[in-house]
Amino acid sequence: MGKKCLLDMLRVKLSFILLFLLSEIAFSCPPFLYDELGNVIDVKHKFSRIVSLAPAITETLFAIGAGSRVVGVTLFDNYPKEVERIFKVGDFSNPNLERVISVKPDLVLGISNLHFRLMKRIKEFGISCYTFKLYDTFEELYAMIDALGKITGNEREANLLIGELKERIKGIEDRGKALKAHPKVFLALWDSPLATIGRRSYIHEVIRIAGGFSITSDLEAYFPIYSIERLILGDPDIILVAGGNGGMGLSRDRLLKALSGKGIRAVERGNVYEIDGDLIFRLSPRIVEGIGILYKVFERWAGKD
Amino acid sequence: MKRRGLLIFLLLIFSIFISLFEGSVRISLGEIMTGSPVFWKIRLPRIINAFMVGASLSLSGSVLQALFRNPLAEPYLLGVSAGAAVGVSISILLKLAWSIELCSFLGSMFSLILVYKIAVRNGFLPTEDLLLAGVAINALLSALLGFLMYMVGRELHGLLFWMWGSFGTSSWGNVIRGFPIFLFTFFLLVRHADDLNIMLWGDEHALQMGVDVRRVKKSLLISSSLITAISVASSGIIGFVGLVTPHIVRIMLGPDHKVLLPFSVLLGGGILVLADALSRSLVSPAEVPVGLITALGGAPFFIYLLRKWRKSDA
Repeated sequence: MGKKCLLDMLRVKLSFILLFLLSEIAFSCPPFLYDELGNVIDVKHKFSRIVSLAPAITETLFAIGAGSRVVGVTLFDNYPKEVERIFKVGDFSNPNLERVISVKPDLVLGISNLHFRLMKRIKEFGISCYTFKLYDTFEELYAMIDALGKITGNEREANLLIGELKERIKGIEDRGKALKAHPKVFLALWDSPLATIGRRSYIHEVIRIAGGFSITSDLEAYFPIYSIERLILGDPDIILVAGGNGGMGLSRDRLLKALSGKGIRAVERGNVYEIDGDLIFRLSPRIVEGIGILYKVFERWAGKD
Repeated sequence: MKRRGLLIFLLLIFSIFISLFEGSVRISLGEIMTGSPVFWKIRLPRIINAFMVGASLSLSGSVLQALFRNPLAEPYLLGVSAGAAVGVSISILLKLAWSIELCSFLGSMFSLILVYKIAVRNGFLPTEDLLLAGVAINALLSALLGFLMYMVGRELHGLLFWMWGSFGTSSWGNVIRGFPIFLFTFFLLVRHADDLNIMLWGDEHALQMGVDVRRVKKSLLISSSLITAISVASSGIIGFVGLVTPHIVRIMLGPDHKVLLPFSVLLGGGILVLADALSRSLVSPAEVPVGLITALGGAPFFIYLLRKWRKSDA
């Protein structure tokens, strides 16, 4: 069994295509985790100095009780409060290699599509790397929590967290289904041009769980541009503004300035709500709070009519 | 004249010095001596790569300006960079992580050949046609790149920063891969310095002087876009250096390509090393894209030089 695992590891290194073919075997071989970029992590290894290159990863590490081992985060990290005192290695999208190496980490965690170039360099220093895909589906969150639990040895906490999240989300979903009416929802990312979320985003799922229905779930592109005519035609009951750091920093006032007097029903009825983008755009355990807030907004709307 | 040449040397040494000791992590001399990995494995290859890219872009800028007899010619004019960027994007979308450099080169060569095929007429390359074809292909490929990013975005978002130019991940690997090509191209171009001087007077004049214009143009175009492609693959799209450097050298030292080419290498390399030092220290620990620095710093300086130059002419 052990030999077989080693052989598998070698082959994985040889080819990315093989990685997918072998993932079945890899699963039956518990001490190793494989990511999209071909990074391999020995789960039995105890990592004590972790650099997290994404706020969602940092939040999850803290949520499963591995926060004390985090020695580096990005400038975007703002939760939990403890991150203030942790060494900053640079921007989320472009962390600084010198600073990452200088905190002497034994493990660097990042996002596959953002950090692939950097990870290649970090590996040259003999530092373990592991990346997550955190942008397409809700399941990616559970997969990340599960993997982080295995990597940090806090598997029990991770499983508890997943269980708790699933339960809380199920609870909101049930209440969402029971709403008297389900609002048609439009999420605004930016006002000029009016931009929203496209088909591949998990946020439509977030809106659905909270009891709403996203009117842009059929659009191509990740952050499509949306015309005001289409918005009038789509006639959403509620317009959500992704505010704060997590979105692009759009505010309710700013969006209202752009949309008022154009005959948009949600605007005229005052159904425009700003939500903390960090709770929606970070696929972290706190997403359940974001869903809860959305549910409250939808509940209030359903009560109005 | 000699003093001005010395000035370029001094700027280069100054930039390298600043760059070695300025960074997001303070490194003492003692740490450097004892083999600090941050210095030897990150900062040093980064500086050398920045020098090489600055030198390459300036070198192709000098050559293209001479070939087109157009002061606005620059490495990006032919769509070489856009082609390279499209190549890189495709390699990432297809998850061919190992082939980013190769795809970049293929993309740039593809766009170059396309431009050449459009512009070529009876075996000759009229300057105007080449310029127009370059502009058109550049626009087309840039739009294609934008479309790819808009539609399949996520996979390419990691490139957004890189597109603006960054030496953040430069490694000895970049240096080792790029250096032989850079050196070879440099000597090839210097060997053609006389031909370039003659071709400044026009193709017919050059033909009468015994220059095989067709062959020389072809080989100069290929080699200058080759070093541009290597640069784009390693550090993204960095504008302005290739445009400005040759002009500054020409103003300081005159138009003779025997002088212009080597000093463009020194000055362009020095400018980009300095720009990179700024890019990583201005808003440390975050980084400003180096392409923004070259544009912000380069443009006003260029305008100042132009005005001064005109005054002394009058």
